[in-house]
Parts: sequence; C-alpha cells; structure tokens
Amino acid sequence: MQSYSAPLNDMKFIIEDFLNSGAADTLFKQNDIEIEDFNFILDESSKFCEEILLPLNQSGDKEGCTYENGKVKTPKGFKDAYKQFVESGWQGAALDQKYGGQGLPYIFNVFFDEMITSSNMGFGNYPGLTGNAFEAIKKSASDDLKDLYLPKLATGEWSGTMNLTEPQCGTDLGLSKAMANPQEDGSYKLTGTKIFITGGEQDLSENIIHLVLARTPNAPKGIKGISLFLVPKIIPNKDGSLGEENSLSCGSIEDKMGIKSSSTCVMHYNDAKAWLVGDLNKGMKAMFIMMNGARLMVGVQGLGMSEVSYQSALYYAKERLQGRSLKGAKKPEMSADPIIVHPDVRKTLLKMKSLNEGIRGLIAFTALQVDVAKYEKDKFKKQRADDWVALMTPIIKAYATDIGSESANLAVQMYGGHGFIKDHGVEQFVRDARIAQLYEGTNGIQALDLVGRKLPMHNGRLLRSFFHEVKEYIEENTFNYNLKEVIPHLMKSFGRLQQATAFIASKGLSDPEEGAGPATDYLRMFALTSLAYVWVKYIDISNRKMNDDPKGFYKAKIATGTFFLNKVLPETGALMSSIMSGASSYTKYEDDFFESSFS
Amino acid sequence: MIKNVTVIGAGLMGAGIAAHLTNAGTHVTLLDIPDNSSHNRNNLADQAVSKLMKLKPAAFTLPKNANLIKTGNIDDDLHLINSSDWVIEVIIEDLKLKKNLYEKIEKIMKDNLIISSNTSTIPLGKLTEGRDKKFKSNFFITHFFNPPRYLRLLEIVGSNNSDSKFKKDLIEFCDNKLGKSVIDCKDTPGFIGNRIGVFWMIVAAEKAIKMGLNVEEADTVISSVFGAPKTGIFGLLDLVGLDLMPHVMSSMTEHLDKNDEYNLYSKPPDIFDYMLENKLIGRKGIGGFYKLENVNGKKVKTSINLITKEFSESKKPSIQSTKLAKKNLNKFLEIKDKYSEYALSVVLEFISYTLNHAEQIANDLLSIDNAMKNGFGLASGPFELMDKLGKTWIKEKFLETNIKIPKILNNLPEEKFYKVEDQKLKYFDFISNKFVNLNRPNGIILLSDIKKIREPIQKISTASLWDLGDGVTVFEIHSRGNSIDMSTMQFLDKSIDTVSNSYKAMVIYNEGPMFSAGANVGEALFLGNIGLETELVDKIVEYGQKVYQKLKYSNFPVISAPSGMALGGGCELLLHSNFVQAHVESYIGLTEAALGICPAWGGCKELLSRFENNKNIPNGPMPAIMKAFQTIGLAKTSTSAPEAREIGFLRSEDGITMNKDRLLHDAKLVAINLIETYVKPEKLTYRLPGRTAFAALELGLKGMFDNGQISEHDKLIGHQIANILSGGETDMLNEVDEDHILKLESNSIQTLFKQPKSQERIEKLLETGKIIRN
Repeated sequence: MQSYSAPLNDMKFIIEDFLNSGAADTLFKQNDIEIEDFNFILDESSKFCEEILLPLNQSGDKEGCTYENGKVKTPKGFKDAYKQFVESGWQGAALDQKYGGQGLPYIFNVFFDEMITSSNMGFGNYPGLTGNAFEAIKKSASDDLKDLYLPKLATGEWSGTMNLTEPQCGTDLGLSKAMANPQEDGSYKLTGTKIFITGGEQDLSENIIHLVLARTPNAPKGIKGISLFLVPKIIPNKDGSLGEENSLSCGSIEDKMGIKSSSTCVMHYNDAKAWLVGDLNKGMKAMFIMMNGARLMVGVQGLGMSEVSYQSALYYAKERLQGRSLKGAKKPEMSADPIIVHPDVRKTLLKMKSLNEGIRGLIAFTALQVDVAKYEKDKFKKQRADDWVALMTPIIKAYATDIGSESANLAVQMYGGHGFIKDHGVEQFVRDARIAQLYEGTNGIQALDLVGRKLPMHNGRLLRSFFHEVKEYIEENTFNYNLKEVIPHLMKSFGRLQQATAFIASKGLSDPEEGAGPATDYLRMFALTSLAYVWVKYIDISNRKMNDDPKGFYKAKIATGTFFLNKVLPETGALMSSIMSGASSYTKYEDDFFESSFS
Repeated sequence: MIKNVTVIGAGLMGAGIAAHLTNAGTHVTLLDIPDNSSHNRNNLADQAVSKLMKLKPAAFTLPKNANLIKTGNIDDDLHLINSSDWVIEVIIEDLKLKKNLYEKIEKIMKDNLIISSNTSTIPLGKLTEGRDKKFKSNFFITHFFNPPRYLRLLEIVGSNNSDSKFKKDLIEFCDNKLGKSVIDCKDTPGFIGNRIGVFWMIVAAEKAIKMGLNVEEADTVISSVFGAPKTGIFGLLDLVGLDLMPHVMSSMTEHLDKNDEYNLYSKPPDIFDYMLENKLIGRKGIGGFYKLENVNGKKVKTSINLITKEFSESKKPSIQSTKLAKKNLNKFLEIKDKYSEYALSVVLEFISYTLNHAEQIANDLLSIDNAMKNGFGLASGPFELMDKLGKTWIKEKFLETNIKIPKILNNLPEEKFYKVEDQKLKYFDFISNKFVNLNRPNGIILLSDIKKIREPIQKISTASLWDLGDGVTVFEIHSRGNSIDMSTMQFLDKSIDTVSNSYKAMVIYNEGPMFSAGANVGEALFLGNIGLETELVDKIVEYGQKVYQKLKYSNFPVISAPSGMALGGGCELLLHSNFVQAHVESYIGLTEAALGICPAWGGCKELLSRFENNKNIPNGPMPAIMKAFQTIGLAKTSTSAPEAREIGFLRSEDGITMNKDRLLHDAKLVAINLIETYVKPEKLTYRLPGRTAFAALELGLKGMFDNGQISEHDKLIGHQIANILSGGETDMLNEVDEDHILKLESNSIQTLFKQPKSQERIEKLLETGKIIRN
C-alpha cells in the first residue's frame, strides 16, 4: 500500500537543531519570517500533499495523460488539485516578494518538493519547473519581460517549461538546430522541434511559458552560438491579459515507463514569437541557472521517492505476518510474527531510513547555502556558499536519485510477490523513481561534471568549501567525549576521500580517462562521506538533547546514525579499492572482447 | 679585439645597438647629425641616450651602462672613429646619404678600422661603389634586429674584397660578447631574414584580407601553424611598425629581380594606405591593427575591421581546429574551411619562395631556419616546418595548386631535410645534394641536439637527467612553466643519488622559455583545498627543503645555468647551487610574497647568509636583515643577470654568458674545472637578534601600512617574513643553524597558506597569470 506521512519531525529537527547553529537564523530574519510561521506553513503544505495529492497518485498512474488534436488531458482530479495548489499560493512560497512571491527560504521549497514527490511525483513535475523558470527569467531577462511574466509565474496561473533536447541533440546541446530569426520590433521568430518537454502542454495552467534554446542566423558554431528565448503558449497583452495564441503546438506525448501522469511532449515551434532572455549566444549561461536549480530538485525527487518507498515498506513489514522470530515468537497471540522481526528486514528498513535522513540534512544544508550565496555580504563567505552548491549539486542529483531507485526496489522486495502486483502500488515507485536517474543529465554525466569540471575548477577551490568544513569539524571534535565512538568513522572515510581526490586529480592530469573512469565510484564515495558528516553532527546534537526527549526522537536519531556509520558507510572502503586500482582494466579492454562470449 | 665602438645614427635602432654594446662592457661613441636648433650640438645623440634609459623592455642590463656611452655629432666628432675598433653606420635607408658618409669616413679612417652598415635591404656592392680598396676590405654589413638587446639574430655580409681576419673578429665579438646568433649571409637584398621573413609577413597579411579572415582569426591561425608568438601576423606588424613596410617593400622590389615573387605584392592592400594616412602605424604610435581605447576609465583592447575599417572590442576567436594544427599539421591543413585554406595557401607560398631562393641567399638551410627562428620568433624554421609535413605531401599540394615544384625538393632524396644517422645529426646540403654532418661551432652545446641522438640516464614526465660526457650530467626540468612539483622534487632527490654514485657533477639547465617559475603552487593549493595540509608540509615544503639541502651539500659540484625567469622555488634552486653560470637574460627573484606566501625552500636562510657576508652591506646584524627583508618583502626581481648580481641573487664569482647557445658549454667548463678540487661548502650558522629585530621590522611595516603603501594582507605577509629573518625566538648570544631558519620558513608558509587572501592570490595567478593586490 502506498503509505505516507510527511516526515515533519525530521524536517523541524533539521531547521531548529541542525541548521540553527549555522546561518539559518539570520536567513529567517532576512525576510521577516519566524520559525513558528515556517513550521505552520510546513504543516499546511504537508496536509495538501497527504490529503489531495497522495490519493491521486495510483489513479493518475493508471489513467495517464491522453493526447488528442494537439491538446493534452491530465488524469482525473489533477485539474482540481492544481487549482487548489494555485489558490493556496504554494507556487510562490519561496519566490521573490518583489514579484508576488512570499520570500520563504529556499529550504521550504526543498521540503515541499520532497513531500509532493512522495505523494505524487507525476503531479509534482507540473509546478516543479515553474520556480526554476522564474529564477532564470529574474536573473537574465529584461525588466519588461520580468514585469510581464514573473507575477503570473509566481502565482502558478502560468507555468514554465525548459526546452533543451532535440531529436539529434541530448547531452551535446551544441548540436541544436532550432533557429530564431530577429524581427524588426526586437522580438524573434523561432522555428524548430524540441522533445522530452515536461509539461509542454497540459490542461492545468492558463498559459505555458517555454524557455527554449535556439541559435540565431550567423551565430558561432556549437555551444557558443546558443541563445535562450522565452516563448509563451499564448502571447500576453501588455496588461498581462491573454492575447492571441502563439504559433506553436504539441505534436504528441511519449508513452513512458513511469511518471505517466506527467505529460512529456514533442513541441513544434513554427515561426513562434519569441523574446531573447539574457545576452545573445549566452544561452547556456542563462539556462544553467535553471538547470542547476532543476538538478538539485531532481535530487530532492530521489529523496521523496526513497521516503515513500521506506514508509510503504515499513507499513508492510509491520502488517505482514509470516513465520516466527528466530529467537522465539514475538507475537504469540497472533498466527505468525510480522516480518519486521527478521534481522535482514530490519537492516533493509534501516538502510533506507538512515540514508533518507542523512540525504535530507545534506540537501537542506545545501539549500541553505543557496540562500547564503544570495544574501551574504562577505566576499569569501559568499564564495564559499556558492562553491558548496556548485560542488554538491551533481553529488546530490546523482546519489539521491540512485538511492530513490534503490529504495523503490527494496520496497518491492519487502512485499515479495505482492510487490509485483500493481494493486499494492509499490511497483509504481520503481517505474516512477527511474526517470530521476536519467533526466537533467544522466547520473553518469553528473559524475563527469563532478570529476571533470568541479574538481579542477579554480585549482580545487570548490572542494575547499567541503573539505575544510569537515576537517575543521573533525579537529574541533577529536576530543569530544560524546563522539568518541563515531568520529573515527568520519575520519576514516574522510581520509579515504582526500586520498582518492588527490589520486584522481593527479592521475587525471596526465590521462583524462584515468580521471573519468572512477567518476561514478568517486561521486558515491563523496556522497557517503558527506552523509557521514551530517550523521555525526546529528548524533552530536542529539546527545546534547537527550535530557529533553519525551518521544525518544533523539534517541532514535543516535541509533539510526550508529547504524549508518557501521553498516552503510563502510562501502567507502570498497569504493576506495576500486578507485585506487586505476582504470586500465576497462579503458584498455579491447573492443572485440566485449563480444567474445557470443561471436 | 674589439673594445671601443662608434655608432653613427642615434635613431631607435642605432641607440639600441649602442646600448647593447655597453651591455657587453664596450665603450661606445654615439654620433648623429649636429642639432643646429639647439645650443647643444650633440642634442640628438644626448636625447637618444635619455630615451634609452626609459625604454621598456629595458635596453640596458644595468642603468649605469649608459655611462659607457659618449655622445657627439658627425660634423665635429667624426675623427673619434679612429679611437674605435669598429664603426657601425645606422643612418636611414638612403643609399645616397650612406655613400656620402662613407666618403667622409674613407678620407680620415685608420687602416685597421672595421666599418659596417646596419642596412636591412641594400646590397653591399651598391654601398661600396666608388670606395677604395682599403675601405672595401674593412667593410661589412652587420644587420641587427629590433630590439637589438633581445632579438638574437645578426646577419653579417662580406664581399670578395673583405679582410678575413676582420670578419672573424667581428663574428667572434658579436657571438661571444653581444650574444648574437650570427649568420654569414650572401650579398642579396634583404639578406635572409627580411627576404624570407618580410615575404612571409606580407603574404600572411594580404591573404588574410583577401580570404576574409579578421585580425584575431589570422593571428591565431598564423601563431599556431608557424609556432609564431601570439602576435601572429597583424600583431607583429603593429610591433614592427606599419610605416616601415612601404620602405622595405619598395627597397626590395627596387633591388630584386623583376621576376621575383615580391613583385606580386608590390601594391600594398588598401587598408595599409588607409592606416598610414591615419597614423595607425602600430605600438610606437597611437595603435595599429590593435588599439587600446579608454572606455569608462578602463583600457579596452580593440581591433580594426579589415573591411569596414572600424574599431571594435577585440575578441579572442575560438577556432577549434587550431589545436589540431599543433598535433597534426597535415590534417589541419586539409580541412575545408577558411582557416585551413588560408593557412595552407600561406604555407605553400612561403615554402615555395624559400625553396626557390635558398641557394641564392644562403650557404645552407641551417642559416635560413636560424634566421626565421631568431629573427622572427618562429618555433621552427621553414625547413623544419617542411619536415613536419613531409616531402611527398608537399609535392602533392604543389601539384594540386599548380605551383611549380622547386628544384631543391626534387633533389631531396629522402622525406625530410634533417635526420639522425649513426648517432649523428645530419642535414641536406642543397649545394652538394648530399646529407652532411651538422657540426655546431666550438663552444656551443645544445641539449636539443643531445636529445635527438641519445636517451636520458633517467626521466619522468616533468624532468630528465642527461649524460653530457666527462662525468657531467644535466638535470633538465620540462614541466609547464618548468615549475617544480612533488614528483619533480622526488626525481631531483633520486638524481642526486645517481650523480653521487656514478657521475662527477650536475648542471641544472633547460632550453625552455624560462628556467623555472618555481614551485607548482597549483598542486599545493589543491592539496590545501582538500585539507591535506600535512602532505603539503611533509611532501612539498619540508621535503623540498631536505632535497635542496642535499643538493647543496652533496659530494659533487652543482652548477645552475639559468636563462629567462627563475622565480620563487626556481630562484631557491640557484641559491642552493655551488656555482651559477647565468645567461645575461636571467630574471631572478624570490616572488613568493606577491602570492601571499614566503620563500620556504631555504630562500630566506640563503639570502640572509649572503647579505651577512656581502662586503657592500654594513656590518652588524640589522643591515643584512633589512636588505633581505626588502628583497623578499617587495618580491624584487632582476631584469638581467648583472642586476641579479647587484641585488645579491648571484655572487660576484658566479659567471654570466651573453650567448644563450653557449650557456651549457660554459656551465660544463665550470663543472669540469670544479670537479678536481671540489669540497662541499661548510654548513651555515647565524647569530640573529630575534625579538628586537622583529620589533624594528614590525615598526617599519606599520609605517608603510599607515601610509597606505601596503595592504592589511601585505602587512601580515611582512610580519611572517620578519619573523623568519629576525630568527624567531633567539638572540645574539645564541648561534642557530640552517635547520632553525628552515623550520621558521615552514611554519610561516603554513600560516600564510591558510589565509583566504593568499589562496585568492595564487588562484588568480594560476587562472589569469596576473598578480592581484588584496
């Protein structure tokens, strides 16, 4: 059964205990927000997810989107849900107050998106990109465009999409063919076909604002000749009212493995009226703002899927009666013990739980840095926050979505054969979670981004934001009695990560394949070490809160963390061995050998 | 022996030659025409000398060299030529004026006065028309390239009448004393350099205009195809001065055969005329193809649009394929786009011209390659370029483009003009049509030659150890910027053992553009960034100290032979060598402070000891400390080897070599001389004042900070350096050893390395090549 209650206890712990020691406090003050208000909004938003979105998840998956004559129909109930979403003002919660947002910290978005994903990932994709489109327009577009479009995006009356992929160009956007011709009035006419456009057409918002990458005549070849354009489905009048329809259409929608309630469209632009966003030929720069935000949010989707998988697995592990505990019956009054008595079941559940809580903290800390980078005045602190976000974005995107998928599969495993039956709803998690490892740059691409771009950038300056943070923490707490059992775990995996980083950096200098080869292993090792840092801090905080722990929350925290450090973190040892043995065993493997078993 | 020289003509070139003669320790008389408008009849020559003092890059290796120049004017002082051994005429390129002057000289000259002209295009035969036998026997052309101190090419032309002893004296002097790469040329217009080089320039410029490339595109293509400096073609024209081109071109076409290919280019492109009319002559004027413009108080580099003639901001073009040009030139030239087609047409025309006229202008192909490399800064000469492409490929392209295949190419029996056979370098002699041995003159050893015929004793990707014979080895660094990273330091460590066990001396030398940019700070920064400071200290700072100490106190002599920049850790390498034989163009400095750190491979201890023993520095502890503090704190860098000696980076006994090609040979001679009697130096000890000196230096820093001369961060750096040089916790009663100061260096660099502003400085240097103040 799809079982879900928003992890509000954990979220509040993160806000009040985990981040409060950092810059969170100042950040709340920045926009005049009290923590109590924040918690209240969090409660309200969780109700929307649990009560409105969750019940539409399975039915939405079953019905899917339908396409007819250029129009897309979303599953039953979605229209009303979206209407409620807009009326409650959820879209603008964390957006700029100047354009009608409510200016909540970015962390709110992160928490809310997690809850939306857990409840209904397919639905979440419709409003999901609007916030990122808002930020991209705000950062790069002219004032006229901002004034006209941002307020409507902030309410969610209009939604946003991003159009990158074309039939012949995926990862390599330099191959893009879409063409925008300049018009006398300063606008452009854009022609081309874009594929895989999430929410490119739907029946939820009254207008759809497409951000489209295209080149202009005589633009330089490749990636340096790409510009970003704003193309509305319906061209608004100057006062914001809707005018005539633009010359664009949805040609079809994809029949997909999962997130069937989210429309994935083929978009045709046929001399569609378009406006330039940002500088000519600087489209990638403007789009990266959107993409980086989107990548972080996909990571959040991974967490959301992992959380609902965990809760659904837990539900079944407690319900399902089969056999007896190896140490004698735990529930003699019943026909059998619930399967949660079995060590392996407990271990599986704890793996999911400990990863979810760790990832949640890592994402929240990163979201905090997004705001620090925005508001901080001190040059070096601002830079450090920016560096942290740039460094952690590929790690969070790839690792959290891997875990999302892994947890969904573990949930099916928990259900045994019943997990394979659609009625229970957990096989949907496997299908839905899978996409997050693929879109916004596959996880392999994320690993290459980490090793090929983020590592060498500014001679490793981005790394400083993480390594110095952790190193200083370790140094401060080496003699912290409360942490004597846990700090060594962190030290060990941190030391491994340092050595692996130095190894990859020096190897990669002379041979790029030696750098790229272990990228995925390295990203995973980096993620696990980051989670170890989060967990040690959780335990440190919880230790100090033990005296006031009526619900046993802090006690549970310490127990979960102890599990993580002893059972999950040691994977870094295996990763280390693999990394340090170099890449030659596969880079030098002859192409013909791949076929040696059958031809 | 030439000791006194008269230079007639005090223009840019004449004055530059005069200055460089003083760099060789020569006394110079500089004459120009009398200035009748001034009460000072020597005004023109005097003005030239004062302009020389301000020239950038500096014409003098030491400002005081200017004292060796005596000025005068040709009306009153021409007789002074007879107190010289050699007189060089550097007046304007006007045959009539030159001949008039020679007539006057002929009348009064002594028998053994050598006379030469610096003409760039006029044949010798024309210059000596009507002169007597003695004049003709004493007369040569000595053609310098601008700026005379820095460009190594010197073309010398004699005639059948020339006195062979005078010619020998002249060549020896220009080679050994002036450090020039001297080429014996035939008496043809433009000799070798300008004949081939100017043709190359004009072809490259005209074709760019015709084929629709913009200024930046052409410069990028030319620079990568020919291995030319970044100036490419249009940047080079700006440097040379567009105003010179019409003179050179008309002089060339006037004296050359009517069928010569120069005539195809006798009419300059329209844009040249436009630029000359508007005084856009290049860097010496208001700008040329590139121009600096003031935009909102910022200097912005702009470039001219070759079609519309309008200036707009200069943008670096991104031509992906030029990377290919460096890896596989043939493949690059075969691409069908305007860049490759442009490059191919320039290459073919250039090599066809070279091959067609080689016999006429040069004795051998070495002279031609040498002229283009040393006179125009190309990485390889035309024959070396052809060797990259291969004879078969070139012939095919000539056929495809209907260019007649030059005779030399048909005569070449193999694919390439150069080869190695029986461990000997050989080249194709186009006169005998045979391969002959490439023999360097006495006193010249090139590592690049050795590399072609021999394997190193041991090597890693960033350094090699070579056997130079006679028990002498060469330690060569060949990393990017010749910087020293951890593995290079380990290799040096290992090489010390190798030399100690099996050889007798080590020369540290390389033929890259710089001796060493110092420690690989990028590697250090990266380790610091990932929190591996312990490795940074163990494997970089303290390990480096250990290896440099081992080098200094090894059982064999270590001779460093720098040329170009020797900064930071590269400078410390010199300071730990037992002897330094420096090329005159050595730019030496402990520049760490500019990067927010301090010398920590023993630079502080060595400099301190040198200043304590320097007789020109007053006795007592403070003067030496003060001098070291200023030198390190201000990151003083010498602009020449003589200046490095004045600052104190070189000892008075260290040697200076004027000719870069002779540096390795000179260093080897030093090594051989030292081997027999070598005893390793005694360990240094110091008596330092400690806290009291520190307080005095701190006071100075505070003053500079209060006056706004230094930033807060500079003050912090100064504070650390002051602590090292004053000896830390010690006093005058206490004798401390080298390890004591090394420890202080290590502690200070660790402190400084953690500073965000120091990290910012290093990061910016690595990314932009620029030093920032923060």
